[in-house]
Amino acid sequence: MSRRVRNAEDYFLAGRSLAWWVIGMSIIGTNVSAEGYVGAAGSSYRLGVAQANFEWIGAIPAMILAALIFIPVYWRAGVYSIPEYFGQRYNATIRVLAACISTLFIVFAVAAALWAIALILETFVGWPHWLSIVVSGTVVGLYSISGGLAAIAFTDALQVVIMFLCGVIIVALGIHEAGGAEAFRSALTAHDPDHLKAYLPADHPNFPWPAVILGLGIVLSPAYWCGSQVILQRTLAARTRWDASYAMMFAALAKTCVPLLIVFPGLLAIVLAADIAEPDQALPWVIKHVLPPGLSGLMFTAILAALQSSLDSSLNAASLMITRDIRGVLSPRADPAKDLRIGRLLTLLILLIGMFVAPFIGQLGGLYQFIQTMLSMFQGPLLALLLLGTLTRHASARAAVAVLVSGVTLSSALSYLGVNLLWVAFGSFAYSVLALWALSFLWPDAPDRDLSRLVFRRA
Amino acid sequence: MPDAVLHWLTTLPVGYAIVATYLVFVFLLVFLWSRPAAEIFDGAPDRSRWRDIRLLGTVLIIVQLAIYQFFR
Repeated sequence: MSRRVRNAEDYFLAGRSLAWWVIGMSIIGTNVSAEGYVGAAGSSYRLGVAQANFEWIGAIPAMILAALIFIPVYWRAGVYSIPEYFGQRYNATIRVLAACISTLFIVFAVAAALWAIALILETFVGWPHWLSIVVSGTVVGLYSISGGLAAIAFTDALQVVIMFLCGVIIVALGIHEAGGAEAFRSALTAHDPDHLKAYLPADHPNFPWPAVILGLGIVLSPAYWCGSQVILQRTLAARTRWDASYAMMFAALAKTCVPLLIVFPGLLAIVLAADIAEPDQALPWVIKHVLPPGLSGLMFTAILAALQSSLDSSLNAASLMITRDIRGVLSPRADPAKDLRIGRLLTLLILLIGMFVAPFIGQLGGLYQFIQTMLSMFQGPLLALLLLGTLTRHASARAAVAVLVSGVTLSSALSYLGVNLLWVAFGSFAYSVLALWALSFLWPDAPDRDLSRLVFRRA
Repeated sequence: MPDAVLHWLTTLPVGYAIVATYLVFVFLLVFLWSRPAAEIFDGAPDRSRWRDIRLLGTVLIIVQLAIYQFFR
């Protein structure tokens, strides 16, 4: 596949040649990551089925909107990246800021993924952390750097097949072990009646339903599914606009089944009265005690595959944004013909930084909590810019810069004060929408600016 | 967010969450079918039924409504 990579478009966008089914499976492979597999099983052990909201109300509506509104707009704009869209819709400052914020987050995500792989290999194989980080970094680096997005997407698709196969086997064996579906349900609700409820009470300390709908459903989820470069890059690499939109809808259908992979093991650990000290040990416990030895190995491979498929996509996306959205803007005389070489070098550099930072991620608290906190700080303001920029002609460039800076400051302050991260996301989003709308009256764009390619057209 | 609003939100019954979820999906269904066929099939090799994003979206929404009905 590396021989087919001749220029930057081949490397970053697979030569715009991907079919809907590859993109759809790659989206799911990229989405189900370290926090997905290990963290979600742990959270469902504490919360029950409500954890699946991250895959249902916290994903599906935003994926439908991405397929119908955002992907067509990005395609019409002809961009390589979401920051490039920001650059066309607003200005170069927003493009560089959005790229810097996303890249910073991705570097931490790469480090977190490598750390998660190290923890898993330590649990199952007994490897020291440094060895796991070096081996997994080398494997991912080899195919990501040589084959670019095409190699990543096809590898992701294969990994998703393994993940779903293992998920179905775990569900079948787990229900059999529990004595059938009815016995499973009785055991689960006997432990806590709310474990089979999609929503927990509004005064729940960790997962109150209004915060789930307003924070997760209205802010975090659309910000991720409609604005994340890591996810949307493969839709920009589709062979046609139809393939791009259809792939997202297909991914949404597959996403509906993801709780079987990542939430069910946590529920199974409750039903089988797992002897574990920490919720995050639910998945390793299920693998050790429910699966026969041969399948444990397959499941172990599936988890590694899930982690690697997120890691490779993050590397390529960060490399793209630094090459085109940061270097391309800050050094306008840079030769675009060198983008391929620079992109490959940056992929290697980001991977090395991630490998260096990975051992320190463990000291920053729970993986899941850490990544969600980082996300909630940036996603409210960025979503406001994306939403008003895509749906209206009113949002102006100067107002967008002011709102991005002040919105991130506000959400950092709210996080520092200990406010629930879902409320932080909603609060900073609500502020950013109102501020962007109001400031755009104060600092409007030039009236002759042509936004026809950059704004959603109503039917 | 002001404390009074947060406090008020914590008093809302869970049933409202299910109603809000149904409304979100019904809105999406209406929006889905408001898109013209020319836009839906833009770039598709042909207009066969299985390529209609609106049909795939409808199946998806029905599955979601069934899930939230089951786990209500």
